[in-house]
Amino acid sequence: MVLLSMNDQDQRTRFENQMLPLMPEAYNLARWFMKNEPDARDAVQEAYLKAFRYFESFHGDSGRAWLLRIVRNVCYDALRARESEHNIISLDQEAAAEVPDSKPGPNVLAIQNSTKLRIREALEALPLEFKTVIILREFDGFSYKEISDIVGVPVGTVMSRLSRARQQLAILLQKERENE
Amino acid sequence: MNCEDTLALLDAYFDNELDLAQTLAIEEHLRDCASCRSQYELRVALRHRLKDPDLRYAIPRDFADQVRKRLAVSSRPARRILSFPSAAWVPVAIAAAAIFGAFLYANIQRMLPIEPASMVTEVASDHIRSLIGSHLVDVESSDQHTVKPWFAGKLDFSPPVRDFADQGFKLVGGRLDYVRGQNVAVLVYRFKNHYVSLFMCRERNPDADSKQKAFGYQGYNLVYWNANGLDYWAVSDAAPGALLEFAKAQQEEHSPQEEHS
Repeated sequence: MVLLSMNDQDQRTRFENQMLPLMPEAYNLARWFMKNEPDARDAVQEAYLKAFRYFESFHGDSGRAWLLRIVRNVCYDALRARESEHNIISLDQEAAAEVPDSKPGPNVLAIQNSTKLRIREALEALPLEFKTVIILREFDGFSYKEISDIVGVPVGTVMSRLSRARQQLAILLQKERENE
Repeated sequence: MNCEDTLALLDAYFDNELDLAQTLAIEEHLRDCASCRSQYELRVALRHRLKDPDLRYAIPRDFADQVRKRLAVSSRPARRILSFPSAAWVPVAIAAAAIFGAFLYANIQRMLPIEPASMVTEVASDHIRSLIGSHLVDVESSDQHTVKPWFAGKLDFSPPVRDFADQGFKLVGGRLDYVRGQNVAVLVYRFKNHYVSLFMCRERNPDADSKQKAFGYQGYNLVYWNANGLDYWAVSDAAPGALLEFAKAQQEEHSPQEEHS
């Protein structure tokens, strides 16, 4: 009994040492997916609880990939639930809310012209699957193989998604440059 | 290496995923080809901009502590709780997998992953955009008699509109889209937690093989068929079997007699 709880404490320490330092990356990913802070917090917390529960089943060498895969899955589930819960009505409302003001004030214009915001918006506008591979590749520096494990698609698909995502980003940025 | 091959591998090259021989071949091509080089430079520029630390969301101040506290009160279940009941299910799962496998083999031998730049890509992308963006439907109604007249005057054909709620595919509405230079009618159905988009447009190639075909694209399944002068594309992330059911239901309903009702 004592042994068991020692073992348990051991596991807990190991989990904390390995997984807690990864929280900034986990949070960033969830925040991009969920598009707001409260949902991102919920998702990361849920992912950590799940990871903790299944930690014994983790034998790979990349704890990062393992954890982010859980984060990604939790977020996708939450997005799916959000979609079916709010159904079409809220999708429409979201659309209405996202329509930019046709005559932005000077402040808004200044912000819109900022490069940082442009790339952020372009990234936000990407379809979810594309956004996922860009974040995992460009922000987190994962290899195609790791991305393939995280997302659960073949390496070839990772490559074609990245290619298409980059083309889309380039087009979006190009368009905005022309509008200036 | 020509431009086509280079562009196909350009991202892998850019991401250091190629072997030495391929890398050298691409580098050689990039030295001589300004057009491919500009594609490469575009990626360099994009990566540079994505390096901006402001694009990373910083973890909220109190959050790490909150998670740590939450973990502290959470206990890990013994692994037996997880594995014991599942062991009992193994024979059932194997049987189910076998049946499903046989079903797949019998029905969707043609469900092959195919590469982009085709109607498959366009239709799948449009479906994905409609889900992720905000343009699921233009007219929201489960009533076929509301949706069908809505298309009148917007297209040069009259798309058949049917609800299949009794078979699990509930009509959600319709939208108008533009795919590959053509106006298309899209009907949106709900199947459990999935959406199914049914694209309908005038047939592109009347002589083409009108046999039903199935495709997979980036985790989405697509079924194509042709009937009464229209091309049909059904796309969804629902299971292939479900999508085939949907296609079957649609094709049964689309017999010519029904068309004029």
